[in-house]
Amino acid sequence: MIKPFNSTLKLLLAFLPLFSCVDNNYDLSDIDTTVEVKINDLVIPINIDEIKLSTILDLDSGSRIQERDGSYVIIENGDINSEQIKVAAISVEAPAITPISRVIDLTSNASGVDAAPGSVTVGPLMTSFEYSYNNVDACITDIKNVGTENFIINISLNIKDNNNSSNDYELNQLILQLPDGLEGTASGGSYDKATGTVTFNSVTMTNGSFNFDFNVSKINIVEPTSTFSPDNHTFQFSSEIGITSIEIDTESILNSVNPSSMLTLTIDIEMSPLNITSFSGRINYDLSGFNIESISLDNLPGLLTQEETNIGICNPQIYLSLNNPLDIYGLYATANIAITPYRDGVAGTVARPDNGVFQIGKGGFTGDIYNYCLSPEGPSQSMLYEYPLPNEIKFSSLSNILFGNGLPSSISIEIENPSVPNLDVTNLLLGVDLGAVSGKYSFYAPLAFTENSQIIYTGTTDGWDSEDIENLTINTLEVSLTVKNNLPISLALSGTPINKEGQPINSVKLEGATIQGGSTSDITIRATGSIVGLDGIEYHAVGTIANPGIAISPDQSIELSNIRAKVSGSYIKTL
Amino acid sequence: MKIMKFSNIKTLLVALLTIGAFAYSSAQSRSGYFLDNYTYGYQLNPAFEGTKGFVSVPAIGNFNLNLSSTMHLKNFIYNIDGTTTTFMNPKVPSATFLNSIPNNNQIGLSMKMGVLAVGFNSFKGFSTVSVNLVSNTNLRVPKSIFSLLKQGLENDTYDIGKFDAHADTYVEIALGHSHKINDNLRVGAAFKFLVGGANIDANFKKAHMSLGRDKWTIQTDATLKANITGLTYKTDYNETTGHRYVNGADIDNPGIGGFGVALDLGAYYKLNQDWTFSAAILDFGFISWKNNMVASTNGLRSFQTNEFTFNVDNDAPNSFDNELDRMTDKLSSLYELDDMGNQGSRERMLATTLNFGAKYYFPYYRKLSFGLLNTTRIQGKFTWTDFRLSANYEPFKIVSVAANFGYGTFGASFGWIANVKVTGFNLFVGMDHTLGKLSKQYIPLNTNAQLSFGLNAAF
Repeated sequence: MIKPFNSTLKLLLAFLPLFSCVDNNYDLSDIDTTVEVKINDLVIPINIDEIKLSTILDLDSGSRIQERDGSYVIIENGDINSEQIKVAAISVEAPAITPISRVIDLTSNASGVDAAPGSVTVGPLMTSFEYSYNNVDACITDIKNVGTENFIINISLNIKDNNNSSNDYELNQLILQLPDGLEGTASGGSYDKATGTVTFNSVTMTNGSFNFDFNVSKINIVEPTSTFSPDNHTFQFSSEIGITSIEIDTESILNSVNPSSMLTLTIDIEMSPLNITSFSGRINYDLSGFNIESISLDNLPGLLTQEETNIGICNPQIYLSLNNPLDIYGLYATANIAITPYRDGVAGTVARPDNGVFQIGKGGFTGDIYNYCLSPEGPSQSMLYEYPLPNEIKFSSLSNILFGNGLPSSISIEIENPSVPNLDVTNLLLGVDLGAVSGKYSFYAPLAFTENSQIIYTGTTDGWDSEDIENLTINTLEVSLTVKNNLPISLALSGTPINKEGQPINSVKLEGATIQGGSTSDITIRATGSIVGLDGIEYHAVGTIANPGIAISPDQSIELSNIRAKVSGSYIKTL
Repeated sequence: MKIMKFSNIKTLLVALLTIGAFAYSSAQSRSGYFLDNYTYGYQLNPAFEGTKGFVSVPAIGNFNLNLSSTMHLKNFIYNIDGTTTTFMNPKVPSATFLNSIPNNNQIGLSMKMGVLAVGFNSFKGFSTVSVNLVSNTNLRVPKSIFSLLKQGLENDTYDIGKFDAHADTYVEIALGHSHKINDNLRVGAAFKFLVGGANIDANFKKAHMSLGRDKWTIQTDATLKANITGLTYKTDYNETTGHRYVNGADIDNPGIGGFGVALDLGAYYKLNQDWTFSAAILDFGFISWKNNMVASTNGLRSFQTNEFTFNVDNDAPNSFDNELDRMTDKLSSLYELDDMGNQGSRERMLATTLNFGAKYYFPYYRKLSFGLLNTTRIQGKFTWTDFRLSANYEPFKIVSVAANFGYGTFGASFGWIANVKVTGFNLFVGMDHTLGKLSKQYIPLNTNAQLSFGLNAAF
């Protein structure tokens, strides 16, 4: 059944040409399958969620920028330490003092001392001593007095008669002469600090001996006895010492069994080594060893770190919290602070506080911690917990510390010339550690930009090239939208479409748009010219400050609404 | 004679149905309507009687190819600068292409293959017994689809909902009889028992795309009904949307899909020597299809751009990548059909054909006649109509020829038929649509074609 069917069909088909004609122009074996799909001013509505700044910046955990009290801040903390404060002690060996010996003729006043009848007065019998120290610590600029430790002046009197015997002798009066300006404790007698004399009324020299000690606690600088030369750092303590007068009762001697007519008086004076353990005067002490690590500005969002970005910060703050180990002496220090930005190892313009040197550690109580805030506009509320009641120091130029071609890679903080500025001091201990200046610092910069700041961001997104994109020609591309920009930054956007060689597609002009900060605006981004072979776009954003002084914060956002992308073009492909 | 076992008959029917689905056969040639000795005139009007009894040569007794379309190959293929190209080529102007396409387009493929037919005089009339394999395929395509493709996308509304498809195949066992009532009136009827093979209906109740400037909305509501014994849908699971959807079908042990009945009725009235009028209604009936496997969108599915908001944060649930994925899933859900399972049986009316004819015998030469035939096929969205003016010439009783010009839903056409009928032999060949221009590969550029051929034994 099939065979005749097929034969019949073939026979019929053979007759087909009688009832038709063949048009060789329609060759279905060789069809050009080029197809074009057009897009005619197609408006595509797009919805995009509010873009929070936290999404744009996308900070990681190690970022230098942190969120504090709802705003973005650069914050860096560190410690401050100085070396121990110590003023060298003064120590001088004891001088050798020549003893004094005098023969006293009891029968006459040859000794030259007017005496009451029945007594003989001898004196003055003086010798001298000298202490000299020429390596006084250079920070001591004046000495009013020095404190001593274990500094004893010993005066021993010894009387022997002709027979070299020691008898008891009565002294009606004995006046010792000590050096001027001493303060201390006498072992006896009445010490007159003004004259340096020690007066004994009616002393018995048992076995012909008399001993006197004066424990010196303080030596007041009284010229010429004691002098200090700040120029050559020399302290000198030299004077005469001895007996102003000694009145010996002669009646008891002459009425003795074997009366002597001649007495030999020997005066031995011994003085201890001079250890000066404190002083009062003036001190000009240079503090040293302040070490503050540079603030590294790595790990900042790429949005802020491109060249040509130029940022001024409205109110960056440097906080210092320091102790004052010299508080008990009423001393304080002065210093300057130098902030230096570094870009690729090259130092930029140094910034210093407006009034230069400022005082550290003045006006408080012993044990207090002194807080300082150096800033253009004063401390931030959020830092007052950590640095309560800071002394405010105006530092206007700190605003420009980040200013320059691109952000600095680091910022150094240097305490310049910290010193105790030639202040009066009382009883400053010498030779001991007086303590070190220690504390902490914070660099706190809320990202509120100055009016002249500019943030430049250029980027490229590419790799769109595909067979489909190659076949696409875009004649018109226009995106219109309403932008509510809650950032304090205005953005000027522009871009250039690029081909897969990374070169601009020259036939195309991309008209950008400016999004004003802190306002709502309708913008249109338009590309004119045919875009063929699109592989990506090179975009350029310039941020300028619409609202200086308002810090950027994570919750600030850009809201895009009424987004309408209008496209015209065609897609041509050979299937 | 052994009666064939029912199971064997069933197998044979299924085999025929299967072959029929892929075989081209004819809607009956309308060019032969007004020829008196056209053997298969009873299939156009059961009132027509045969001039001779006949037995068809199996499979080639009534062979017809028919393809009708409002869209033609020449509308889609163009010669530009000596090169054959498609309508989508940028060098083909939009207006040229779209002006050649009607608003509503149909493509129809009707098949009716005579397996076996016998005609004989009986009961004072003419009776016929025939077994035919019938297959219909129809496609309706709205112009908006082509507008969208050619003109491109713009902010407009596109309604592509008028997209329907239908296919069915069945075997009809027809018993017909034509009977003379009086000298003027003749009537006829045919009762058909129908054995269904397969039936598929697919339609978009809604396929609407509105691309507004503020919002895009796409809506679909589609249903696919398949009545094929042994058919089950294969499904896949969308992990993202949690949606199980139809992605194919399996047919296991195909069989008879249903049963039905239909009726042909006709009348033929001779007013006078010059005028005769005829009318017929064909295939008025239905098939009850079982195993109604339905896949559908289960109501209206919609997609709106307002449902999607992108976030520039790559970690957000609605990041660009995530939201594009969600958008893709939502778009695919527009056409992911749910397997609604077997919805039981359903009755479906057949495509009914109405024929109305008027014939005029030229009074000065009775062998020449003219006829006007209107054929209307009522098939819901696939309804078509055709008016055909023919000139018929029967110089001898054994030879008849006709030429005609038709115009209707599928455009204009030129047809003809030649018929030779002697005792023992009947051959006819004709075309309702002459092919016209062909491509180099003999594909008709005008996608309307009809070829009739038949070889029968007449007695």
